Amino acid sequence: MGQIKQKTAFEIIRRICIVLALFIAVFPVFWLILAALKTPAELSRMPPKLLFEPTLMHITQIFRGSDIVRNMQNSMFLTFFSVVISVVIGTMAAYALSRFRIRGKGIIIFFVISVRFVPYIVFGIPLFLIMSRWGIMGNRYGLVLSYTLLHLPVVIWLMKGFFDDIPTALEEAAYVDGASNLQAFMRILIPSARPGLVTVTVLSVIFSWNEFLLALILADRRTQPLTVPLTQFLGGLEWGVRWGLLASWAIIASIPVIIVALLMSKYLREGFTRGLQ
Amino acid sequence: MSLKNHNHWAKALPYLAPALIALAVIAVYPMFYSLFSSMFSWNLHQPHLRQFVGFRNYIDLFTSSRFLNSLQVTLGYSVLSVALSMILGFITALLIQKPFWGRGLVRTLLIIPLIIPPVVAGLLWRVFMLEPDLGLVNYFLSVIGIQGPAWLAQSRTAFLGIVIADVWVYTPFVMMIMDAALDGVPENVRESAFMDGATYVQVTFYIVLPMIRAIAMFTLLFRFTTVFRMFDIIYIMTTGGPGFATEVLSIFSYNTALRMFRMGYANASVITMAFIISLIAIIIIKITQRMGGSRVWDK
Repeated sequence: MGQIKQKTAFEIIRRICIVLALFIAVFPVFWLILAALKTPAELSRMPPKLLFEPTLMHITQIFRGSDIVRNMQNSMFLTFFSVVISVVIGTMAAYALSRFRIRGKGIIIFFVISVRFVPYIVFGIPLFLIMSRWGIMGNRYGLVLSYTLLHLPVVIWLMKGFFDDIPTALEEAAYVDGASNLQAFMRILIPSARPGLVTVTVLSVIFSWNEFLLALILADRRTQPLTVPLTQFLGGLEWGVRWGLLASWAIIASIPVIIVALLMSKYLREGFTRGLQ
Repeated sequence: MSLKNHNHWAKALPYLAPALIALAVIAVYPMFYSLFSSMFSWNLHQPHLRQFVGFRNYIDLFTSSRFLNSLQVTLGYSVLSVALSMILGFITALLIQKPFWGRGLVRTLLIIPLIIPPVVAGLLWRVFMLEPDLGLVNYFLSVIGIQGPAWLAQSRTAFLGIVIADVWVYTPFVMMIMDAALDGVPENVRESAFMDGATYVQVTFYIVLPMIRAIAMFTLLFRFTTVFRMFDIIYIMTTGGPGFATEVLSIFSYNTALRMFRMGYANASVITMAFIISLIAIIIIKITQRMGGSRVWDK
């Protein structure tokens, strides 16, 4: 009897803890969404109210009075091209590292991994100097290239793992039939590793959409993505109106990745648990 | 043609070259550029006065109280944030292990802090959570009768503030990995221990934890590298302030380079950072190997 009671108590505590964890993880983001929809008077109301008349004033003001559309385009441009480049050349490199016996492979793998471990500021500052010297400061193609730094090691590492998991029997058979290794790569490995490709793409999209440091240092007003202008709201924060604008901008910058994460959570989990973040 | 031939460099090169060239341009070249520049006294305000000074910048760095403070802040922040996120992440993973209704959705929702932009997370905490008068944290504290501090205005609470934000973002990361690791622990192992009269805590500490220790060590490694490179959250929350209370090495290097334009000095600082994180990574990897951990490195 006592044991059963204890088990029920344990179970209740567990449920309470889960709800608490969920509250801590999700409520702040939910609160940000509410803040974006509040009038200035509502924003400075203490204690806060959960039910209020929502307003779109901040969001319309952002779309009318700022460059947000251009920032969105920049975010999409940087994300799209850096992800495509990284996934294509990273997958190729992963194939070579998975399937060919080459001397110095361990060194290459170690090098790729260590790039991911070095803090971004370590690359950011010299890249700033190099790009200024070449006169391409703020250039969007230079930015795309610097963004690939974030993904390439992850793509190479994860894709190598996915390729390693695919048995070589099919390729062996194809080689007997006279296939080239390009054919084996395109017709056998790529289709078999499709879930892996989705995983690395999802991860890379999130990393580049969220990137801030490299853009802060290397982008200019014309090329900066959505994350950088958020710093502009930091002056005069006491003022309720700016809180609303700030929350709206932050939500607009977060919604795409939240949607990707909700739809692709399986792949996201796969990517994160396979390591190298 | 067999897959087992030796030295396939000629065949592998076309596949490897694009990635290696890209990494050479955006990683290796900047690193050497940085290393080289760190030997110069070089202020962008007076670029013509650039002059070779050898290891002078490094000596200056390690005798500068601001840099030493930054080193201390970084280590304190890293250890505290990594420890808290590891513990909380592991506990959360244990909580959601046994199936319950809505588990899939809960697992997805719990990772939201990890996937929103870190700048947004920083702003969220700075403004909507930790603001003294209108922030939620002080509101909840006032409900239970505690007057909350002006979080980011005082050194000690500001330090705590950036740790809280970092833990909020990265606990889901630990949780996700631990959750997957726990899925790999066979149920019958735990069951039979329970049969023998072991308590839940005993099973967790003496059976489950040792089984996933290699993964735990790699999670530790990833956590250290992410916390060590953290810039966004701190930049947006405090920019290193008040005073230098939250000036971690990333922020110190940024301020030195892009606020004071002391480029040689800043480059010495980032090279030192790269050196320190390599050292930490090597220590963790060695410990893992000694523990007989996984062979993730040469899988």
